[in-house]
Amino acid sequence: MSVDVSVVLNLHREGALSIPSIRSVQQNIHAAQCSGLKVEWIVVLDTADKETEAVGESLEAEARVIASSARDLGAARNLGVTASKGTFVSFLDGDDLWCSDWLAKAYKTAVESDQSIVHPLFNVFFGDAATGKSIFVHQSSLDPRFNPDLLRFINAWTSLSFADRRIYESFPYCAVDLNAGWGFEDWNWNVRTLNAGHEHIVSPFTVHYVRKKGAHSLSGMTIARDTWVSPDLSFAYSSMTSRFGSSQIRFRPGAGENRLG
Amino acid sequence: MSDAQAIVGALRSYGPSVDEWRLLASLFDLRLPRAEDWDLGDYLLEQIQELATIWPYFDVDSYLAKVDPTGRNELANLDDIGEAVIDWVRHGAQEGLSPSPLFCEAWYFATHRKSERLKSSKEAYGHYLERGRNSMLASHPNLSPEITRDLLQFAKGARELKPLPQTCVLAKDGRETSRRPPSGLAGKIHDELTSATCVFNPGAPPATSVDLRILIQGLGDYYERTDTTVSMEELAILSRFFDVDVFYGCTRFEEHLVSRVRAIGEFLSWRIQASGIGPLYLFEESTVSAADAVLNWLRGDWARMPLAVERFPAERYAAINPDAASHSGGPFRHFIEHGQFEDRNYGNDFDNSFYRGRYKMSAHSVSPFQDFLKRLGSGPTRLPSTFSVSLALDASLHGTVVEPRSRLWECSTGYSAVIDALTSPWFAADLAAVSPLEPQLVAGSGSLRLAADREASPFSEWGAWARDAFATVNPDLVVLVPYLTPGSAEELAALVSSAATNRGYKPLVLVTDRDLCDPGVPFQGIDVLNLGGCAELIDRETALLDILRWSGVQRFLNINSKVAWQCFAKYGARLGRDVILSAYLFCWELETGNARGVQGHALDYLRESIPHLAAVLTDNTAFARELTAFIGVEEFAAKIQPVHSPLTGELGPVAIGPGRSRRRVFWVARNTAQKRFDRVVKLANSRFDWDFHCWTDIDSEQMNSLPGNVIVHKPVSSLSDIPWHEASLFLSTSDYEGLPVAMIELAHAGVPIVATCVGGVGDLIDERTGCLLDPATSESVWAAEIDEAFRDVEMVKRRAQAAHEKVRTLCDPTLFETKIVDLLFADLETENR
Repeated sequence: MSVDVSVVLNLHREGALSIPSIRSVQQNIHAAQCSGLKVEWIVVLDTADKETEAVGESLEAEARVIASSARDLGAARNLGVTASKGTFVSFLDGDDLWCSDWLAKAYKTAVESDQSIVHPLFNVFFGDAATGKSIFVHQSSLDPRFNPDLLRFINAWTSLSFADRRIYESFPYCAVDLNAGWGFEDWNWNVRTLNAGHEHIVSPFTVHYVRKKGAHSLSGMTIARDTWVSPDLSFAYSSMTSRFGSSQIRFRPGAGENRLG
Repeated sequence: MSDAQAIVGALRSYGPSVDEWRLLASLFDLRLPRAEDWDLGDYLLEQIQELATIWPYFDVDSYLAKVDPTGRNELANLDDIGEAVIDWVRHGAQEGLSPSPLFCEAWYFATHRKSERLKSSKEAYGHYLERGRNSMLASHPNLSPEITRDLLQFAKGARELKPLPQTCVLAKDGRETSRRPPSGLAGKIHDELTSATCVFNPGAPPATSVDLRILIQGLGDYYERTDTTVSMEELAILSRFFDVDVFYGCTRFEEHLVSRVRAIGEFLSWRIQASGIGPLYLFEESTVSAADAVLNWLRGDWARMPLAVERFPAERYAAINPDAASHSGGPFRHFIEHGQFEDRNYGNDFDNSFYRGRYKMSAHSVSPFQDFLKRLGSGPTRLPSTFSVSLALDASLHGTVVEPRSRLWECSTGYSAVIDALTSPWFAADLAAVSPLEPQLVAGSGSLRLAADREASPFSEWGAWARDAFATVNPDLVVLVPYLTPGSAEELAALVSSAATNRGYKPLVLVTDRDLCDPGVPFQGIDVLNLGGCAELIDRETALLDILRWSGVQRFLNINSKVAWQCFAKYGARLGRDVILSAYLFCWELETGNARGVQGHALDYLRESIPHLAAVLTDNTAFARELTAFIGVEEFAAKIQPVHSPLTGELGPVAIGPGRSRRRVFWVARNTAQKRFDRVVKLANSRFDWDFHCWTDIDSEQMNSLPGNVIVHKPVSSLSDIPWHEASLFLSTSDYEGLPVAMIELAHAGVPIVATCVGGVGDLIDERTGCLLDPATSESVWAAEIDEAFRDVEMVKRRAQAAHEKVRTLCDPTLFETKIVDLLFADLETENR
């Protein structure tokens, strides 16, 4: 049976927080199937605690559950890709939610635009009482206002992407090594894929609901440790800027006055 | 030469008659003087001279298109505007031709023939100049009388301004298309002129071209009054923030105002108390002209701005800020004078603390609100707040009504679409579908904000600037120096750059620590970029880090840059994976005072950095040995390499003469503790039969205490400025040295050298090549040793010759070049081989 979309749900130690995510996947699979898509569901349990493991095992009737000891989100995603058969793969982390029809809309966007990496228009961050709710807007790399220069400082797209499986196979996520000062596996992936010519586009009228867990989450620790986006990007980035051309690069006003010689 | 100058020049040589002068006065709309005291020609020439912009009074192309070439032999010269004007005076005016693209003779005659009783089209232009324009008669089928008049008025008022681009296009197009309606860009502009929404008040209902006309007229007035110019950007700001309608609404002076733009002047002369019901303005000097006031406002008098951005929410502001309620000037004045600097917000439109944080504004003497306004129209607009997004999202989440977008948001770019999307039905519908899965999504009443936790830092501008500059140069090596003044680091940077250039590599010198670039420092053919303009050291460090990470350049050599050392020490582990970092170290610096320890970059940063450095270069072997001992890790010792500075050949050969009865000792150095001028003085006190000529900088008090055999000369910029042929020897008394370039050059020139045996001096001077002094012994011992070394002239000559030969080998420029390239470009050199 050919599969249109493989859903990869990554679970680690989310426990009860994973239940809304599971329901979100179920909601989306149902909507996608109503649209005529064939969907498979893969759950990756990466060094899960008992509670999360129990949640994962409860899904065995409707999903393929894979255990991993990688202790690395990127590696767990790679494992999910290896196990998947779908034309496209869509990731969800174990405590986040998609909009109700993400799979169907992302699939439609990917097929109609003939572009291979799709992100939601919005991300609503929630769940952290200290910082409150906030919104992060994705911008398409095809948007004339998109400035690749910003990728040096901002990860332009979250990790919950929807893309052709072959891209994930060609560009596996790199490992995060917080102790060595390297992080942001998704940022690294975004730059590498963009550099390779894969546009990152936005599916209109879509949103992801991303739970913020403060300093104890991977992203929280990554930021707290002044971690850099993973290595091997500077050269990739150099060629990326040449790809986009210098017109995309901002000048510092008046800086030319400082030039001698 | 301007058009006006060309016309004046041509008229002077032509010498028009009185009647022709009158024609010219009419053509250029010049004022005629009173008959009794005029020298009409000179007077008008003076006025024409002031008209830097002649068109559309006189447009050569337009005129030529109308001239009948029959019988005109001199037409070939008429592309000169001066000649063309004279031709018009002599012929064109009599033929009824208008040299203006704004006037169509045939159409004017046909349209106004009956009402104005015109007999022929030859009368048309003269009629228009004398009567028609004052009666607001249309001059062209495509132009309303108002626009024609405004264009003329504007061009006159603009004086030193170039005409607005759209008026140029319109006029040219009107000329070329003649009777056809304007099309293309001109048509678009024409449409805008005639039907666009009001330039002044974006929120007002669609207005007519009257608004533009008045705008132009009003600006013309400003130019005339102030003899200055207003840029289009300033005009854009003016149009955004001066809300004439609001002003009318609260002043009720509409009926007394001549035009809407004049309202600005009226407005500025009124002091309006902050009442929260309208635009507020705190301009107090009513004697200042309206034009000055407008310009002051545009140019930075922001504390007194005529705020029509949004009505100031005085009640809310006072409720949140009790001290504002009791402020003698009222809430708005409190905001202007205090609140904006204390991050108290101006309504829902502007979030001071958000803006200050997002754009890294540290000084509280600067108002984020003012910064935002100043940037409007002059570059990428910054976000004023996230309130609008928050409100919109909240509205979707809680089903409340969304506030209309504010004008500040209208001015900023990129995010208005966010609000549109958030307020559209799909989002509310999706929330309704998803929130049952996760009630936290709609729980609580806290406002949502725009996520900006990893916003671009201001340093990114430097990084982008530098990389763009780098892209132009495309360097293979970036040499990092703290600043550029005449000194050793700069000399070495130049030498390294030259060496790289000679071997086909492209160097670039980047100034990192201070905004100090002495133009006298020669870097011939080498590109130099200055990063030292960053305000704070931490900014410079981050900016340099940005460059190290993202410039794409693979080799960096640090020569004395503290900022670079900090980056190497902090981030070397990660930087070293992508780029090749190297450093050059000079000798230790000695602390002054009683505690004579060493200090300097080597001490501060080398241990942390060396694991990540490809090479550490020094200019002498002694210092290399000391650094190796200092590091104490054998595996890194191989990275420390002495590279002797190359000979520059600055000095020609110096002939050593016969011995003199009075020995002449030359001493050249800065007067620092390390150089030990005091030991020169002591030596002089012990040997009054020697003369000590010293090139250094000392104060008058020190000068007065010197013995008579010490002669102090002013410091020189070049060794060649010193008469070395008169010297018996060069003396160095330093406590510490590397291998001074001066010593290298003197040895090469053949000057006998006596020096304390410190630092790298031993690389060059020994008993065979000169005379080494033990720094620990007394000056009297030194004197005896010097006597012994110089007792035989032939021996002195042999030593000088030996030093000359040694320095040629040790400091061979080719050797330096090879070593530098081998060390800094090792990977590429290997590939090449």
